[in-house]
Amino acid sequence: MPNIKLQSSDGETFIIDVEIAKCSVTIKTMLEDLGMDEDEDEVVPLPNVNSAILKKVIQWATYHKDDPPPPEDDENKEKRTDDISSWDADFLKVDQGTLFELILAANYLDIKGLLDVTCKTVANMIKGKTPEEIRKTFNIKNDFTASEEEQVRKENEWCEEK
Amino acid sequence: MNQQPGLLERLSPRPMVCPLIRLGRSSPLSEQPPNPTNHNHDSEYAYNYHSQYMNIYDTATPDRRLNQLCLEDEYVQKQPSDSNYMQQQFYQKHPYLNNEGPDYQEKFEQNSSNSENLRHSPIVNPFAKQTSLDLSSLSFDRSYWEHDNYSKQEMNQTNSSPEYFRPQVHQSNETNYLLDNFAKLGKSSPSLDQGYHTLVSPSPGPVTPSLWSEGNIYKGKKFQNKNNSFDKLPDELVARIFSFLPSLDLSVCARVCRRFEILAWTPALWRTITLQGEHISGDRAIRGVLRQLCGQGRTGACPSVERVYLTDGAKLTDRGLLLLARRCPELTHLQIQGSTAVTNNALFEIATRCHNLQHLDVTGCVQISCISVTAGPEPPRRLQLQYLDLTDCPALQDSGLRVIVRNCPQLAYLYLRRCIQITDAGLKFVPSFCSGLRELSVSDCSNITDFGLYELAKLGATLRYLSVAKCDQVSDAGLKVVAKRCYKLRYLNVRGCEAVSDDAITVLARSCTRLRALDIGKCDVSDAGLRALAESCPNLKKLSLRNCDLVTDRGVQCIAYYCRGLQQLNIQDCQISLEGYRACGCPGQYFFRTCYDPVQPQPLKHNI
Repeated sequence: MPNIKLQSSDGETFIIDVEIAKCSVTIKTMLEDLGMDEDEDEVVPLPNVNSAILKKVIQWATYHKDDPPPPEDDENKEKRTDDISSWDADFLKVDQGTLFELILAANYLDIKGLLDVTCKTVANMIKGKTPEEIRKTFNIKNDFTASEEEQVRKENEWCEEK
Repeated sequence: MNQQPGLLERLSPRPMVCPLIRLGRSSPLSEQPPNPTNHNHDSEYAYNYHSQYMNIYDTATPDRRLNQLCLEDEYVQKQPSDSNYMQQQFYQKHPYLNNEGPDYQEKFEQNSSNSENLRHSPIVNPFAKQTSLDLSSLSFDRSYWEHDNYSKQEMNQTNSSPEYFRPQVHQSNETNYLLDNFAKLGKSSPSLDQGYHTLVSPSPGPVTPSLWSEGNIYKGKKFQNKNNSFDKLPDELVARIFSFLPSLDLSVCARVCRRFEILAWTPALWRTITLQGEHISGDRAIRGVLRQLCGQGRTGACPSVERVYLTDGAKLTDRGLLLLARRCPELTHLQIQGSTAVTNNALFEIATRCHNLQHLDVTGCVQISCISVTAGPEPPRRLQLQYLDLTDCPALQDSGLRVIVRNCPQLAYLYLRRCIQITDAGLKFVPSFCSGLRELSVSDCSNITDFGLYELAKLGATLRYLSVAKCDQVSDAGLKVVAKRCYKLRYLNVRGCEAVSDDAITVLARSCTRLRALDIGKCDVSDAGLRALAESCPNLKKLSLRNCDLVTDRGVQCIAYYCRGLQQLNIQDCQISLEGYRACGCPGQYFFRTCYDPVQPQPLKHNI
C-alpha cells in the first residue's frame, strides 16, 4: 500500500495512504507534478496547516475515503444545509477556532467535501439568529454607527415580521 | 456555603481565569516583590510571580476549594497554535476563579470604547480599587510577561493595602457567580453559545449548557483572541458560507458588521431568492432585496437574479411581480404558489420582459386565466417556457389555454390539475402547438372525455407522463388510442376512471412496456388485467389498485411474482386475504402497503 508523508507547518510528519491523501486536489496535483513518486522519502510540505488541524483533516479523509467524488458545483441546485451526516456533525463538534481552521485547511488543500460540510456547519450557526446573536456567537464587533445601523435595519424590515 | 462542594465536584475541572484579576492586588503576604530584572527570563519570572499568589490562596478558607482545580491539558492544546509557553505556565499555576462572571464581556466592550489607552480592559474589576494604575502598557501577547512596566506596577502600588484583597468580598462575589451560573444550568442560552450547541438540531432531551462552555468562561482566552473567527477567513470563504444561507438569513447577516454587509449583498449570492413563510410580505421583501442589489434608483436592473421562489405561504401581489419584471430581466424560474392577488396583467409583464423565463409555477393563483405576450406589428415573440404549472387555476378556460400553448411552443411540462373549465376543445390545441410535451396532467378536469384523449394521443412517443385521474368520462376507447400511440409512457394515472376495464389495460400493458408507475384505482380491472400487466411490464415499480373490487388474491400473486422491481403496492379496499399478503412477501422486495382485511376490523399495516 503506497504511503506518502505529509509535513505540517510545525514540522510534524504524518504518513498516510496515497489514495486517502488524494482526496485533496492540492496534494493530488502536487503528486502528479512530481511524477507520482511513491518513494517513502518524499515529503509533501504543507506550510499552511498545523499538526492539530492536519490530524483532524486526515481523520475526516480516512473516514470518507470510500465516498464517491463530490459532484461539480451546480450553481442552480438549491444549497441545503440539513444533509450533514451524524458522523460529520460529531466530528465537527469542536471549538470555533478549530472549525474555522478546518475551513481554511480544506480550502488550501482543496477538499470539497470537507469544505462544504464545514461551511454548512457555520451556516447553520448563523441561521435563524438576529444580528446581535450572530455577533455574540462569533465575537464580531459591530462597526456600524447607530444611525447607519438604524438605516440598515429599516431597509431590511421585511426580515423582521415574525 | 455547604452546597458548593457538591456542585463543585460535578464540574469538570477547568479553571476560570482572568489574568488581570491580579491587577490592583498586591500580595499582603509576600515579602519579596518580584525581581524586576528577571523579567527577561520568562519561566523564572512567571514562577516567581505565581508563587507569591499561590501563597495567598494556600491560606484560603475551605470555601476556596475551587482554586485547586487544575487545568486539563487538552484545553491548553486547544489554544491557538501560537499559544506560548508563558500562557501555559500561567494557566497551570494560577488556579483561581474568574470572578467577573458573565458580565465580563460587556464590561470589556464598555471599557474599550471608553478609554483609548486600554487595549485590553478586563480592568473593571470590582476589586481593583487602584486608581493610579497605568494599564496602557498591558497586552496579552507574549510581551505581557516580559514587559518592564508590569513589574513596576506591582512595585508601585503604593495605594495597595490588604484591603484590596479582601477574601470575604472575593468570596461573596465568587459565590454569587457560582450560584448565578448554577441557576442557569438546565436553561439553554442560545444567544451565548459558542459553537456546536447550535449544531445539535432539535434534540429530544434538555440541553444542559456546560458551565464550562467556552463562551462563558475563559474570558482570558477571549482576550487572547481579540480577532473574531471570521477575520481569519478570506472573502471568498465567507461568501461560500453565505451561499448556504437562505435569503432571509443572508439579509440578516448584512446587518452584523460592515464587512458582512458588503459580502452579503454581492450579486453572485442572489442568483436565487427564496422567501418562505406566511409572515413574509413578498412585495416588501422583493422591494427590499432588489433595492439592496441594484441601488436605490427605480430603474436599476439586477441581472444576477435568476430564480425567485416563494413558498410556504409567502405571497406576492401584482406590485411585487411588476417590480420583479422590470428589474430582473434575466429571470428564468419563477414560483409564486398561492399568490391569489396576482392577475393576468402582472404575468403579461413578466412574460414580455423576462425573455429567458423557463419555469413558471402559478399554482393556486386563482385569478390567472391567460399568459399573453405583447401583440405588436411583428409576429408575437414566443416564450421559452418549458415548465408551466397552472394547477388550481380554476379561472383558466379553453381560450386562455389556446393562447398559452400558442405562445409556448417549447413547453415540455404542463400541469392543469383542477382547471375545471378545460374541455376537449382546449386540449385539442395542446399537441398542435406543443409537440414536444413530455408531461401532462389534467386530473380532476371532469369535462375531459375520450375525444380529448384521441387528441392527446397525437403527442406520440414524446409523452412520458399522463394523468387523467378523476376524469370519469374517460373510458377504454380513449385509453387504448393513447396506449397505442404513446408507447413510451412511463407514468399513467387513471384513478377514478371507472369505465376503464381489462380491455384497455391489456392493450396498455402490451404497448407501453416501459411503464414504471400505474394508478388504476377504482377502475373496472380484474385479475385478468393484472395478469396482462404482470406479464408485459416487468419494470413496474409502483402500482395502485385501491378500490378495485374485482381484484383478488390471484391477481396480486401474479403481480408479485412477475414484477420483481415493485416497490410500492397499494391494495387498500381490495378483496385481498392473507394469502395475497403472503404472496407479496417475496424476499428481496420492499413492499409498503396498507390493506383492510375483511376479517379483522382494524387495518393491517405491513412493511416487508
